[in-house]
Amino acid sequence: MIIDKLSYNSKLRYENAEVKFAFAVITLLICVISRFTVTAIIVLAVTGILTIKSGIPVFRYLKFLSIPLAFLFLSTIAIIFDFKPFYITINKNNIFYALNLILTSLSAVSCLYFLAFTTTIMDILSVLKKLKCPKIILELMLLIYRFIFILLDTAYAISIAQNARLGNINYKTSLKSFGILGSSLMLKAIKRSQNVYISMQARCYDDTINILSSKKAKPKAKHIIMITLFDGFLLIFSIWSKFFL
Amino acid sequence: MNTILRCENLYFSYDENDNYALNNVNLSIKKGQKIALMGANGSGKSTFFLCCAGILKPCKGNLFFHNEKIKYDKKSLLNLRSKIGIVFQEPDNQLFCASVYEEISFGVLNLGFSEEETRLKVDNIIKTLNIQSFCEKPTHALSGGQKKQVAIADILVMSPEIIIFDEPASSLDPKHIKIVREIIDKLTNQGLTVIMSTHDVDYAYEWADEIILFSDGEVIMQSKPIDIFTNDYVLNKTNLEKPTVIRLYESISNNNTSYPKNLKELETYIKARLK
Repeated sequence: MIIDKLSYNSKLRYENAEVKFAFAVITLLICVISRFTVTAIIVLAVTGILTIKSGIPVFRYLKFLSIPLAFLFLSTIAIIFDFKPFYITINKNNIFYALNLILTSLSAVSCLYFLAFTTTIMDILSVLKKLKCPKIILELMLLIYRFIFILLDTAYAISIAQNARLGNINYKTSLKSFGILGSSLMLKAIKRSQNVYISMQARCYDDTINILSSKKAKPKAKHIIMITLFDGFLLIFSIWSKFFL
Repeated sequence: MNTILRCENLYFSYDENDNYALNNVNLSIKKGQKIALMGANGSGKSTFFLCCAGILKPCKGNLFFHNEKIKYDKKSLLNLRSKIGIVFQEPDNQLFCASVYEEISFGVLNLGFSEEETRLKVDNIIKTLNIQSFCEKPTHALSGGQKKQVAIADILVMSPEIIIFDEPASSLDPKHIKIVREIIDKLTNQGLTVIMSTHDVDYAYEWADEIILFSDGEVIMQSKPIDIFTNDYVLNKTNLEKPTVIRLYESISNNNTSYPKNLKELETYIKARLK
């Protein structure tokens, strides 16, 4: 999984996860609540620069941004056009509204990308744990995360084995192979989960997954001040824009 | 030496009929011994291991740990599992946490240690097994050999009295086989009881104090390696071959009584004969 690899190689990986989480979430909230185009542009630019500076190639970052962008364009078409009984019109206000919506959504996504590309899933889980997120959700996230990779590996191995025996020689066999892959993956997943449960029992598992993360970096005062200043400015600017623009 | 693990007339069936995966197993293991379990695939070795840790409950018969009958209530089972650790054959079935550090901490926290004590234990085992270089990595990014090392660390950190290795060298490259064997040697030198299932006759012959042979869920022989590997009947029955040292020795010597224990001893014997 490319996002996982990028987060492990990020220059910001070892920075305090709580600070990164707070920055991403607070900025996202300000951006979404204010719904102001200029705020969205500022957030998009700042989170984009930070993510790219952390070691993500520009082209790859833009490629990742283009995925939600495609969805946003498609879903805002309905807003831009006014469908009347015998004609279709384009309203100037609607265009601005759609643009605002696209930019706001995109900047919210860029905040999440910043978090995903610079923070490993373990760090995100440890932050959620500190925020008293229900244990069952954290345990599920942990197991799903681990199983995604195991199932991807298994699916890859099965697909290689199918290809080696001309399992994808034409459309019909490809469909058949895909069906077999799906069903065998399901069986393997069940078997694997049973084995994992046995191995957990062997280590005194008692219905609660107790784990300890390695000690993390302490938050730097410099980063906290910068984030407070930035988000403070963003908040004031958004409030000002609501009342004075 | 005191008997640490004993089983009497042990039966186990996966489908609750007379098709037994373990069929009247009787054996005893002494404290501090190095035991190799050998036998063909599907002969019941892994099932026996799961019974030892109380994960599978036998249909009939009894298991004794330190001469006390194993009970199957929750508290007794947790206590038993804290004393008998299993390193599973397939590390991917054992490692379920996102990172190596979290993975190793899992068992210790289950034993009820505080966060500080757990940190000390985890840091200590990481140093002992020399796995600092990848302890911050996610488990899915490790190589097969590294996963095996983490799987061993998972169990060692719980300080068990018996450690069971289910085919520890399977699908490992020679470098990682060597690393795993060095770890096992360290454990046996510390006096830990080590039970290992393996198909490597050369290693079992040189390493084990005793070998237990399984065939179709039954123990067909428990004895010293030399007795096992010079018994053609049981070797045939369990799909095993004689170790290289024995085969070479038998081909060059007429005296089939004092077998060399390893290649070094065989080399000394050959040099003495050449003089």
